[in-house]
Amino acid sequence: MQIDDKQLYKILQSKFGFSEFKPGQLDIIHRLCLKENVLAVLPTGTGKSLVYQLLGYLLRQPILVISPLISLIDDQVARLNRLGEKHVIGLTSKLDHNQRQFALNHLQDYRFIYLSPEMANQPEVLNALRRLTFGLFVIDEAHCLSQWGPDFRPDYLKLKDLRKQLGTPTTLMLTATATEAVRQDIIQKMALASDQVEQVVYSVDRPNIYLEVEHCQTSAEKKEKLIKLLQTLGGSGIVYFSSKKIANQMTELIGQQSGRSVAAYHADIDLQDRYRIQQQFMQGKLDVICATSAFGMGIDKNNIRFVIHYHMPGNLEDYLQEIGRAGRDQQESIAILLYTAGDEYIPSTLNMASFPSATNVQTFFMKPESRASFEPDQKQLLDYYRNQNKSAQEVSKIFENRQLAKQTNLMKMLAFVNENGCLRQNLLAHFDEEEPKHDEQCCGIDCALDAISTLHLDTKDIPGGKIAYGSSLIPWQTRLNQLFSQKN
Amino acid sequence: MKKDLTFSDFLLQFLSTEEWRRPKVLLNNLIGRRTVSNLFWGAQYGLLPFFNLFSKLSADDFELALKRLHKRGLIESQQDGKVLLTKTGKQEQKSVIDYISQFHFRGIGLHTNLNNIQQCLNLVIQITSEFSYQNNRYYPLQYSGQTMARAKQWFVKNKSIELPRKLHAELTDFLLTIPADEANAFTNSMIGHDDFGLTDQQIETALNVTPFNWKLRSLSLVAAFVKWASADSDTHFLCQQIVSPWLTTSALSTSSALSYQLYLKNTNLQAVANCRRVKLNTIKEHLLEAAILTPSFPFQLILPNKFSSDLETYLGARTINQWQFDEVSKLDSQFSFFEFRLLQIERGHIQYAN
Ligand SMILES: [Zn+2]
Repeated sequence: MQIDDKQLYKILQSKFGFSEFKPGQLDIIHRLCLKENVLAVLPTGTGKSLVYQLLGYLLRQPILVISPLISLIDDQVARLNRLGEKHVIGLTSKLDHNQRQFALNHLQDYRFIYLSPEMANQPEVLNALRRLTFGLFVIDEAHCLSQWGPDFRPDYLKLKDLRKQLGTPTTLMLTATATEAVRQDIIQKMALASDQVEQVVYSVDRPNIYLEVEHCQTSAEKKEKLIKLLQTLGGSGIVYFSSKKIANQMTELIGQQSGRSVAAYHADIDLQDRYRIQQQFMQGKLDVICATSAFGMGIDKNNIRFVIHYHMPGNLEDYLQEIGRAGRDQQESIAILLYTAGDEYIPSTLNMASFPSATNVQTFFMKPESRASFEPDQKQLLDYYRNQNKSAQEVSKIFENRQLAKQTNLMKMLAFVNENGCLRQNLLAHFDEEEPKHDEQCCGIDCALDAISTLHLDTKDIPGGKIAYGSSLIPWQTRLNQLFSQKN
Repeated sequence: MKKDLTFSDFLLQFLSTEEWRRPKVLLNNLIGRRTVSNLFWGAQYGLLPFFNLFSKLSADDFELALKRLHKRGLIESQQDGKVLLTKTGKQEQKSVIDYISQFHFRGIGLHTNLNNIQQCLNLVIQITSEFSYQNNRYYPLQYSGQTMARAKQWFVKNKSIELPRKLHAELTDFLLTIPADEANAFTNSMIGHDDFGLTDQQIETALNVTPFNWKLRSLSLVAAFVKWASADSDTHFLCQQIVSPWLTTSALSTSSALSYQLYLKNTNLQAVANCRRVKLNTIKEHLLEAAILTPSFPFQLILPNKFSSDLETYLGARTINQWQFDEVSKLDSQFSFFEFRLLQIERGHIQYAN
């Protein structure tokens, strides 16, 4: 398809309100217009979704987007709605029967169809999808295809069949982080040959984020350090914890001791509270969010100045993804990882729990009546392999290998934590990137407070409008007047 | 004011010092599992007013709450899991009951899921608020498809330049019916244009209460709103429309209500079964549900009007919970389990509302 850049800029302005493309976007769009399949590695915060959304307006054919989490799908649908796009649907288990039927019967009317991979396995959904001709087949978070990557999703392995059944539409695989091995694996898992896919790889490096690891002797010292850091840091930020319980406890402590406005944000927080927290945070009414690593977040705030890891993530991919929330406005920001000896056992125990043991695999295969008692995630995984006609031994071997891969990833994370040299070199080496040049804006070890002051990250923004810890309620009459724009 | 009220404390009211009770019945009623056996025992334990109020309660959290009571020496438990209130538990129970008695849920969970109404109300307020500021580019709250659809229908139907003013006026009417502190808490959680309200945790801190205390109060606020909005009135048409799609008039499930209506018409169980094309046993289940949940159930139409004196002696000497069907059928072989359960319901004490 011949396209004219003028037309692209016109859509960029009219639909998204931007006058310039971010690095990589235009290149990828050009290739997709030529019907080339693309595997794109674009760092977080660089507008990955804009690439296919813009094509949606150009191609006049529906765009199918596979996304691994309902929360991510909801988030994308809400964003498109906010841009004024009505022809968008999230086909997820959240729809009730009637709505699903309606959506499936009117599928041709949608410009963007988001789909969770398990929905694609339902015959009814598949039949409806097959009636359409898609302009583009998008796999978001494509690293979920790779067994070497930390976020492997067995559902994703069926996507190669889905693509065939849909008449092999032009395919865009998107990810924020993927090593060379993972990229090869993604292409292979989609049953594509290397020469059938253009790889567009941008550096995962975020030079405006200063990297810092702080080693603490005891967990009490770590707690104190966190409070001290939060008292010193000026702007807003996110603190990551390994569990909901600790995130809750620390939220209370931070609220009482640091004088910052703070909220916990994880899977136990209900929907409308998540919404409130997101919006309060975006508006600068909240300074600090205490989140769990495992939880996807729809927060799109450009001026996050710091990300602190109270517990280290299980792998460098997650680390990169999480620190990537800082500094999307390209201003100086900082990522601080707090470490106490033994912390590595927290993620590793989590890893151990995520795969069924060889004995349990055996039981699952031999005794059908036992299957209901398995955790839903484990059951899904085991069912998947059983339907692939794998034996219990083969499946145990697969899990053993996955476990090993996870251990290896954790070891790499630990090597990063214990790095004596340049942290950024360590990080980028993992993603097969060339050595960056270390300078004083780059990284530091055990000197976070100095770094904060050198980088001027201790500048407090103007107080006021913050939701202080324990502030009182607004009288209901005032509140109603605000809500409905009524003057008294 | 029990500002420190926890979910464990709340459970105390359903336990007894005289009778070992089954925790499963508590859990199943609180999450709204509608089976005859569950409703029957729920009625005995005083759970019906709270039926279905905690539909998202997990078995793990429930277990944890019981463990805490155990640790505090307020309950003891048997091998089979049944629990008994201790003397200390009894004292604690009194203050909990005193506090809880100010909330009037009246078994609203038999008619609706309050959570759905709360969400629909949140969304309707958000939509109207944004509309009042003439903004149509915003992130709507993301709820289930049904909630989204109903809120949208409501808006499409009522959209007019006057809508924000009218909804403001209706909500004002409602808020004047409750104490100002409660009205403040209720409105501070609302989400609107450029103003996203306070989270549960922020409200708890502001009120200086436990999460469960606020949970119970917010449920009771929604219950009060539903009661007010669903009452016949020409003055709050908008609020009535938010609430009514979520409410059933009968406390019975749709299917049971239908069987019961048919039975009242022709008083023949088999005929009802034929008409509805279901098994006779299913109809019996439906009628048992009706007997538990309908104050004017016609027991005399089904139960014999006289029992043998042996049977009457057996029944009279025990509370209904101590009756054993095995024993009863030895004394009167004609007596069916259906009749046995009906008699238990008739003679038992059913707490319909608190
Ligand atoms: Zn460096």
